Amino acid sequence: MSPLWPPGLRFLLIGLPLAWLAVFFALPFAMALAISFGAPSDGAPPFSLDAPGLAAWRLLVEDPIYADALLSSLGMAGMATAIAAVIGYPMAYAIARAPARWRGLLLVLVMLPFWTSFLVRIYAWTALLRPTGLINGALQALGLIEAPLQLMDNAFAVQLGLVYVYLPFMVLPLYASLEKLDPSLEEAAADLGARPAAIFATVTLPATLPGLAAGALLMFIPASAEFIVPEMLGGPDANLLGRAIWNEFFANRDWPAAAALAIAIVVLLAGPILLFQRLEARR
Amino acid sequence: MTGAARARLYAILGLGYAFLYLPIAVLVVFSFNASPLLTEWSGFSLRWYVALLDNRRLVSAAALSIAIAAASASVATVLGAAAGLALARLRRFRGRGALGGALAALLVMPEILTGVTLLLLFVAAERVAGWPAERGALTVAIAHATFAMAYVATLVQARLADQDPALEEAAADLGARPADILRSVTLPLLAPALAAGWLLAFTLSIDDLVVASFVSGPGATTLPMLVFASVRLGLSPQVNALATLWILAVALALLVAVRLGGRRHD
Amino acid sequence: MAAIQIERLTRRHGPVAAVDGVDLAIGEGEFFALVGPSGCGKTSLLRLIAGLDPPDEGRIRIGDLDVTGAPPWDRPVNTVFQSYALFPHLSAGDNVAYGLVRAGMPRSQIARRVAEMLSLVQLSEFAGRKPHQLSGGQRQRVALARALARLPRVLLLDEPMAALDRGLRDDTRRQLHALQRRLGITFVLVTHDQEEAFAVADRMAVMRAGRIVQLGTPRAVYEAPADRHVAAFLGRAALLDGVVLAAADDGRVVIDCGPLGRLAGRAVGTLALGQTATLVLRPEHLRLGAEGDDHAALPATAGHAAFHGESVSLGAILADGREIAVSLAPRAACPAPGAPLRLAWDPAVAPVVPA
Repeated sequence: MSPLWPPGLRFLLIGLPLAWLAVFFALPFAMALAISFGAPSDGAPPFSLDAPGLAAWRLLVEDPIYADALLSSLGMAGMATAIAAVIGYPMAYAIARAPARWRGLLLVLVMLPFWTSFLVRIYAWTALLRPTGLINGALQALGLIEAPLQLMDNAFAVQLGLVYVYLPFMVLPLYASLEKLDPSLEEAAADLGARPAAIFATVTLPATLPGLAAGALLMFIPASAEFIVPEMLGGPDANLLGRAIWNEFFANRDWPAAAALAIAIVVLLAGPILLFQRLEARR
Repeated sequence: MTGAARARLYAILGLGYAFLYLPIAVLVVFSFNASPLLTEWSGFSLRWYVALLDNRRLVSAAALSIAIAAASASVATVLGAAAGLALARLRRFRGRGALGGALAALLVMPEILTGVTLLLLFVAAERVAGWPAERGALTVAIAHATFAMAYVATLVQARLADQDPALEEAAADLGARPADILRSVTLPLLAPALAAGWLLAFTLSIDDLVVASFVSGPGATTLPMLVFASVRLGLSPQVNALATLWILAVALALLVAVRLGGRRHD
Repeated sequence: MAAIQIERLTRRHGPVAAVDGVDLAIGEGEFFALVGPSGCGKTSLLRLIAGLDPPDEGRIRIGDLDVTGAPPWDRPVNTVFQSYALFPHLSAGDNVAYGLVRAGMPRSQIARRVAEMLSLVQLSEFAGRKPHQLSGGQRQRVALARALARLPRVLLLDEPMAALDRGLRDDTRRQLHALQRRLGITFVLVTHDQEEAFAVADRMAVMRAGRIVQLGTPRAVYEAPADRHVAAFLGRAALLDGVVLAAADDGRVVIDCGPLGRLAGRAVGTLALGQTATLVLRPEHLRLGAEGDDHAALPATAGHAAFHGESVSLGAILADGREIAVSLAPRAACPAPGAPLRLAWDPAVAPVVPA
């Protein structure tokens, strides 16, 4: 043990955050697991653990609405992540290869939207996409369409919203790994006869795969249980996981079902989360 | 890279920025529109800003959100700095896997899961231990500090990874004791990361709707909760004005941060 | 009294001993060098002396003070780190003052000492500069001034020239040596560069696998390497392996090198008949075409000659195909490639060491 970090200081540095996380991160999930075996009741809080049972879990398995929400959530998050990767990779590449004095500004420009309100930015899209919104108004004024297009309250709008809000999460880790990549590696590949597509496939992409994976997970995991985007852009019929929890909780007041759903989502996301932890630990 | 390839790359970059900024630009422009409609421009006006300041509920929600954000950012900075220091500077310790793993999981955890599980904890704790007696600003601040500390820890860890670990050894070699090393070497080196971490934690807190919706109580309506209630009903020109002020504040804060970061060239 | 007295010092990293039972005494005012290839444990030993890592076994005394369990801030030792480890948020002057503030020195005295130290390393005009505004050589000198400012009993230097340009290194070596002589402080220098150790050290220790394998003055170590590894590490020598055939009382020894024949040299230590041993032929030992001792000569073919300015290094290809270097005066006649050669040496200067 290094003498620079005596036991008291070590105890403080490790113990303080670890204790906080145990109480306010690990314990809540244990609590949710316990409550998922309870039953809804009319009291306050609206659940009871007097007769523990599997009612909430049975509901999750038997009512197809949850499996449906799961599949469409994972599908939407996966698709949006793929689209963000296709847009984000060339953006990150362009920033990493831009003149050094511009890079800082270009990066700040990517981060700035992330620092401004998530809610307000999604609200801005409703202003653009609604039937009486700016895009339909412009298209009608130009005489390109007669009746407004249905641009929101559908799956397209949800994916657009997800790509929009999570794009910075994709670009930043990609930039970090591209910036570390020595440009002379690509030049060496070209010198050895590789064409641009081959250089990308054999040098650039393999070297930046950890960044791509980090960006994809950083986006996919939260996007798969996103609430605000489907709520604002998905229309009343969008049946997605984030909304399902919200509705169980606030509309149905079925706390055990909401707790069971939360636990089920964490278990389903455990694989990607563990993968992300491994990537972070290696960094 | 050929000139054509470079041009294509910059074109994509430009389109990416256009995509990121188009909705924001629309909000800003229409916050000055006299008409509440988005489809027509009917003249410059500051009426929505005036309405905003007259909106007592909105102003008090903003004050509450700022107080929560300041408190939770401060707690998150202390906790995140400790965690980041432990992970970056203490080589082996029991609980390292748990600490790093929990922080990484927090970074990606969907907010709705954090929100719902924390609420269940607070409810159960109230029943068992009588604390917290009611949900409100305190429980929101605790929840926000919890997820924001992961971001602070990441920034602190990244900053320390860039610093020569021999710096602290040099301080010890020159006669400084551990607490003195922390104060005279480690913390000054961390200052930019701590400032950025505090600002980030502040923004994350003041922007959060989902977690606050779960863990807040009837008496404590935060700004995003109020905004959400009003935009859910349709367009709200006051929100445009609010968003514009918000963007202005963030841009100013970032400018200050970049200035501060640029001055310490190390 | 020794400045540093080390007994059976051991430091383990898991199953590997980075420092393995080292005994060593370094004298007051001595310029001592720890040399060896990377991973030999020299930096680990330095860190144990500085107190940056705790030892697993053994004792360290500095003067008459047992510092074995003492933390770095309680040791009368200061270090010049390989990376220099200058505090980036402090100016050069504040870096030098850092240790004086910790020592509780009054302000006015600190200012005087800082000025003194900066002038000692010829950086008086640079007191206000931040480390990133200084060149590599200037940074190194600030690190030196900072470590010397507390007037330590012992100054530890961890590869202090590794980050400097070649041209700057020679000058810096000379200045370092002069500084040590002037201050009379004990210096312990860690380096992987044997020339650096030769140039400045009074005595040196060659380390391998956590142990000290040879200890002595640079000249003694160079002329009589303890074994084949030490010989290989010190300088560009040709190492010809064989079996001891004959050993005379005056130290002359003949070894059988198989296809290269029987070769003579001077025994280092006692070599038994039949033991495997290595003849160390350094470029400066070899002469071309000289007559004389049959066992102190080898036939060869001339190869490429590399011009080094102060000398010419001629490659000579031996019968078994290996190439060895011969140092020639720059104006000496240089044989054409392919020309037959006879390489001769004085068996009294060419060491034969245990394999």
